[in-house]
Amino acid sequence: MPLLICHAPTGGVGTTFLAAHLALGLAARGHDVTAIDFCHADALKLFFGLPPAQEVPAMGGAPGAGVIVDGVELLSGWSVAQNPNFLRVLSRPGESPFADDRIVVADISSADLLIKNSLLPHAALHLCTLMPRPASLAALTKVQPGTPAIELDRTAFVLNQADDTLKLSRHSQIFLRELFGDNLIATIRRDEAVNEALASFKSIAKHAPQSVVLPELTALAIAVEARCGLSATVELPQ
Amino acid sequence: MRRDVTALLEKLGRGDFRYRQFADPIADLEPWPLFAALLADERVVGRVELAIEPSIPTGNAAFLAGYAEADPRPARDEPVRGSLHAFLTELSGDPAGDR
Repeated sequence: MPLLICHAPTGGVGTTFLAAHLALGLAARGHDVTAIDFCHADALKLFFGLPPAQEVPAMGGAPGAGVIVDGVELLSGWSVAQNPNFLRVLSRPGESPFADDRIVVADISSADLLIKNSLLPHAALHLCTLMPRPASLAALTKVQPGTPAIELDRTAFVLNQADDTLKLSRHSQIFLRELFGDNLIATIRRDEAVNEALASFKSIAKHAPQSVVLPELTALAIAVEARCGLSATVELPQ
Repeated sequence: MRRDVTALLEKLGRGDFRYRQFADPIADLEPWPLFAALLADERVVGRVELAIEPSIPTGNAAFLAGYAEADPRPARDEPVRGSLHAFLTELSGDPAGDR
């Protein structure tokens, strides 16, 4: 089963939010999913409705030792990623520390290029989050040094926090659609309900069942499924 | 109809409202210098020689040609800018682009 890494060249664009909801979306479609938080901020759990004080077990423990939320096994990868042995294992071609019977969604901090570049060779897909903001768009020059952004065949782009009421946001959507074509696999609109749900330790579906982002997040999971050649084992209304 | 719009109209009790979502026409897109800079950056679109290969998703040629004309790079990049501009202009079929 594939490793999906979520990493953006700039922070604050919603990569953790998308990683969490990609994991939840794939689990809802019947896949066995593990989400691993490789960020020092330890914020992935918040998107699963867990409070900051909740301990998340480190990866590398007994199978099934992670916290399970809505069908997603949640693990912390931060401390393991600081271990040189872990990086050494990742550097061996064909050798992966991840179970091959589950989809693994890895949330990686924008600044942590070492772990991103170590995981990338093992990944079926790199999900790169963008926002319709100049700093995020300008960082398209930094997605993968050595390869132009439009030629990255294992990277898919997601525009997060799009806002149709803002001119630059609308124009950014058009620009990215023209630039990346099908490689822009999803656009997620801005909705304050996402923050409100987080602050309430609730899922978006429970806090704001009418939120516009819910069908868009489902569409993201479906797009990733298609991109990775996965098929849903549970039929859900889209 | 979008789910949030449906919910809003139901809340307002205005089932008689019609809803239509308008897309921004590409022609109305403003020539943001940032977009032009990205389209001129090899780290985004690759080298010019690579960018003219048919497999590269250049998208709407007229859209890109418009940005090629607004290429903000300094004069030392003139030769590269010229060939990208010529390529995109040719794709757009805009003879005025030869200026």
